[in-house]
Amino acid sequence: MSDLLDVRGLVTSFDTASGWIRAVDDVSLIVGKGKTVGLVGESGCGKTVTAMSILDLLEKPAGHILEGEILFKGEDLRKVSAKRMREVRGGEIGVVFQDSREILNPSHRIGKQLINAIRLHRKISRKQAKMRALELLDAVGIPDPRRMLVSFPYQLSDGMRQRVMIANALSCDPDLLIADEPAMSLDVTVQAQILDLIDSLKEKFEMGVLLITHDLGVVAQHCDDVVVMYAGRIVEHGSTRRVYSDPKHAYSKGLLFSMPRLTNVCKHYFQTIPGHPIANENLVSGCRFCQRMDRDKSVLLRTRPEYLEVWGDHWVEVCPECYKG
Amino acid sequence: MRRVCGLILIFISLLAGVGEFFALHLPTVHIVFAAREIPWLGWAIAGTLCVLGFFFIVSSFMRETSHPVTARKLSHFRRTKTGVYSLVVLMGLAMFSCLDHLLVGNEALVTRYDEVIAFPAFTKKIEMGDDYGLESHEVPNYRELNKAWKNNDGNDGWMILPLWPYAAKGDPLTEEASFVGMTSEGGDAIAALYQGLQVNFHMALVYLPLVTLIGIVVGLSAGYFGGVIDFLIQRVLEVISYVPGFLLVVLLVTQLFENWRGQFLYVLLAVATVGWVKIASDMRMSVKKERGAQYMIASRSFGASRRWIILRHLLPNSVSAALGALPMTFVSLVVSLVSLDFLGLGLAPQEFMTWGTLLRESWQSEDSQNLTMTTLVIISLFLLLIVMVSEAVREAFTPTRFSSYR
Repeated sequence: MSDLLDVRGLVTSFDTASGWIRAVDDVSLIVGKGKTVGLVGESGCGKTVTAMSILDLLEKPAGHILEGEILFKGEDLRKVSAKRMREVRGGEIGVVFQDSREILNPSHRIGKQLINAIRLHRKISRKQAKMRALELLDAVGIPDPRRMLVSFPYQLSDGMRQRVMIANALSCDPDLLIADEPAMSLDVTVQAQILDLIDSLKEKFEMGVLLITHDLGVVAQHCDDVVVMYAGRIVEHGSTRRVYSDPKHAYSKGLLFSMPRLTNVCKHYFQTIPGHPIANENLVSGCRFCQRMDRDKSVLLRTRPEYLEVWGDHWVEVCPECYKG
Repeated sequence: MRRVCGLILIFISLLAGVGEFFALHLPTVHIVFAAREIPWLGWAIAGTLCVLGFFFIVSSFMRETSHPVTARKLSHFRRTKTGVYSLVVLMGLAMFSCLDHLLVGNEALVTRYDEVIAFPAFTKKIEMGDDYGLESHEVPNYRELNKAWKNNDGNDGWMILPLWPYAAKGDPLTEEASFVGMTSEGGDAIAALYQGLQVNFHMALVYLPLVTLIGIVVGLSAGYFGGVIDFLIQRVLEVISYVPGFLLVVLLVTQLFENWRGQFLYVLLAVATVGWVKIASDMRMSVKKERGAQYMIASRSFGASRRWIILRHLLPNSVSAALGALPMTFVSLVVSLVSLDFLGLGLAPQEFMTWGTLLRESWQSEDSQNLTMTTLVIISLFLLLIVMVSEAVREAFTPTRFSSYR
């Protein structure tokens, strides 16, 4: 099966007051057809920037993609024309953003926004687009789709808005869905519904999904592969089953152990990862997790550890301290 | 509402077209064809108005109910009584000034003489004295003629004069028609005041759309594109807003537009040079704010083009900031016009009687205190009306009161 999305050596940099910051530093990932890939990591580790880079949505003067290839169906999205890029966005790649608050234009009705989004990519009449919008709203579990069409965004709850957003992203049956914490603002039952919906759509249309999340439980349940990011770099990558059962990198271990389980909740010391993520401008070029753990090994901090395949399709950044085979 | 506006627009354009075609001189609508040097311009304007009217009517049929926040803003505006009353009075004044020579003028509306009915006020053909059995071959004084015919018990003919049968220009009086007095040319002062009112509205009709358009386009491009464009526009805005505005207008009128001194268009351009700055900077600010909103990025992520984003998202959400300043722009226009005319730098007094001109002339002569006072009072009242509307608009549309953001 060919790869739907193949990101190779992506480097994204921001021009800030304290100089150029490499928010995404040499990231590679693959999303196959009909596969769900989970991208996990702490806040600020570059998950969202990776997603934004794929669609070239960064604020232009500040954010720059410096290197790398973004192959989508074999086509490098960094080289395509602006017109083609617009076709890809929304038409072939759908996005759901994490913050639903201002995600819809406050002065237009939901229906108008949905219909316009559909008609951007499909040459269908307004009426057909409306039918399609109703279908979509129904599919994402909105109780009264007809009334929803004439509502304004400010009249909806965050959860409802997020569902509208998902309906919007799915409006043109995209080949790839980038879901940036799609269900964060929803309660658990709705969250489960939404993720199940994405799963069912994925199976139906052989859609690839890049699921960005903090929630390791969600990843365990819905993702085929998992990519662990730390400080702009991928530290571990492999099939979910493999990574969860046998995490190789100290950071992935930390993440997995800090997940509450029934066995470790009561009367046990709740394990967390010590320290804080280092501010971007102070990052070293060597192993960044070592930097966080205050491991005073200047050698480790200076040179970037290699990224190696330690098992079949299980890749780890082999820092001698963090990776212990 | 929109349907009525559309009908009015179509009506105006048709009237203007018919008037021009049959060489009629219809009240107010003849200003569509005011640019005599470029005849096609009038037809273009009339056509545009007509199309706009149809557009309004068509759009009124597929209208959705307005945004609830907008509706609340409007209802708040309606509850501000001073503002509403001022607006009503102002619109009444506008309509009143539209009646033009139907109301104030020295040509008879209808005459009947020798079994022939004529409409001297409404035709471009000028009836001469000998058409009415007078000896002289010049424009008859209809007031005198009316008096003479009446003395003869209407045997010669009859005529209907406008309500106030005096003209602002080229109509010297033998005696004062009212307590307000006469202009320096010996014309009637009330007719002159009326023309001053008309000039204000005519100016506003061209000035406000022009300034708004420039302000919106400039502010939008500064706010949206940012970078070098923003930098340059910002500097221009700063320079214009820090130079005393009126001084700049005077400089423009006396230096740059020296050759066209007194012409309607050039006075207007000079005032507009300063007028767009406020709208542009307001617009820039709100565009900057809206631009960073999530839905801009979201819209891009759905594949919307730049044009789409600007027209569908950016403009509707930021334009209210610019439109809120419109009433005050009108105020500054009126003040600038009065000041320019008072200094003798404004519209040519040979063509237009304006409030500023009246003020200057009456100021200079000894025996026209009445005229000075009346003019001043009228100017103040007029400005007060607009300011009250502006205040109500500001009160109702201030974004902190009702907002579509939560």
